[in-house]
Amino acid sequence: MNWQNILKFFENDSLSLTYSGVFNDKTLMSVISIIANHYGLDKKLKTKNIYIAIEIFQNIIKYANVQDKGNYHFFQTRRLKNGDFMILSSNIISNENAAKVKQRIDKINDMSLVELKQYYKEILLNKEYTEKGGAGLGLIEMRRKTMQNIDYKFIKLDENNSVFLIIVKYINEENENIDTRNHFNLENIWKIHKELVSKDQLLVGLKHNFSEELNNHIFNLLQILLKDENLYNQKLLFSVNVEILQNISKYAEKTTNNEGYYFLYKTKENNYKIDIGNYILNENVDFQKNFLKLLKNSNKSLLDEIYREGLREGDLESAGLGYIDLARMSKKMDYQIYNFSEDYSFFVLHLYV
Amino acid sequence: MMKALKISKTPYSPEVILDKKQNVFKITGDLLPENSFSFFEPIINWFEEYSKEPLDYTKLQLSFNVINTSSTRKIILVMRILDRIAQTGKIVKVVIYHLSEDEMMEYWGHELTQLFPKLNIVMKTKLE
Repeated sequence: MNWQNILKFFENDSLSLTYSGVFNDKTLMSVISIIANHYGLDKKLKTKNIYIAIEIFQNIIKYANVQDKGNYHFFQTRRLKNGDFMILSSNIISNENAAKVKQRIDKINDMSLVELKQYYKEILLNKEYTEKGGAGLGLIEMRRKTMQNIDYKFIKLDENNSVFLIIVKYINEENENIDTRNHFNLENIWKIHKELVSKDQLLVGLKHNFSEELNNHIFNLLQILLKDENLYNQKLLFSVNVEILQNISKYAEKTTNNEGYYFLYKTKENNYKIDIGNYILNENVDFQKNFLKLLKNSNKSLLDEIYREGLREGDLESAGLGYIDLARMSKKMDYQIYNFSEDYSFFVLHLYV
Repeated sequence: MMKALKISKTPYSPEVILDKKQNVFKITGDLLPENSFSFFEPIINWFEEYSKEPLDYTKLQLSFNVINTSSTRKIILVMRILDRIAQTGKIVKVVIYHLSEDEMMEYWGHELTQLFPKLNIVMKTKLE
């Protein structure tokens, strides 16, 4: 994954969440609570968006029975620094169904809102449609609630299947300082998603300042995601993730608004990989590099010794203990540092658990 | 008599009962507060006060399902106070409860015994 592309793409996001783990009602509730509590939406917009997010998320639940070999089922929601907001779903669909869905959306998009209201009633009164489903009620509701045309894209994977992307955007036309249309462009979103999942299966991706409240919501989501692991792995993975998420907010540079990135992956070998990234001051780069080099090259017993020594004798508030503990709990630790500007570098920590 | 300290449990912080009069000292639940300083401040202060006039026998019960590093540091501070009390000739016992299959908590407790070899720290398995 090229971090420079990722940084550029999410540069103007204040909070973005990409979810690609298990799609069920429990994970839905967890994701919804993040949208409800952290996107800074006013009451009216919040209610509307929660409704739309549920509709979009359930759209993936509906299609999740199609085998996803490429990490194409995902849900994403992003809020830019200027307040613009989007919700997106991506799932695999058979080419046969894709043609039908395309026809249906085009029909809905061509209708005026008055016509749409009439069409909606007709479907509700038509017993055959309501019982069997598949009449596109969700799509109609989406257009009625947003009062926008449905924006979508099909990307052909092979002769049987396509990826179906659907996006709902809220753009304040008066905001000119950020090029929202470019940020919310489906081609660009798809391109960057492919980069994010080029090696391993992405479960959760986040960019934010990782407040305590947000972290608690992510912990809820993680507990659901990890429930099929054995107790030891569950606790180990949970502990590593807690430590990492709490570290981002603690050590990210205050002057960059504590911005940080978090990506949780499942590897092909059924291990977990966690990438975290945040900005650090250039003057701290050498210290950070040397410290992590030491941790990276230390074996378990040496790490245990450094950790215990830290607890026994050291200053208990020193920043290093968290990193030492992370190194102890991980199978492998690695890092990258990119020079970002005259003042800052971007620091990425990779942990394999 | 010293006032008891009681803190209710939340999803990410434990229940705390420190009651000298009833001779009950326990911290039980998940221990993941992000701001461990503000969570532990009253606990550390309470133990500091208690150490001035401790009971002849103090048994602290700890039972966590998960614990983060910053809370481990605070538990170490509590242990240091208990260690000091034990050195005055009073009996201090720390019981750490963990699930039998929970190797992580077992290891955590084991490390604590290594850090405080003079403290009587006992590991016990719990049912749930």
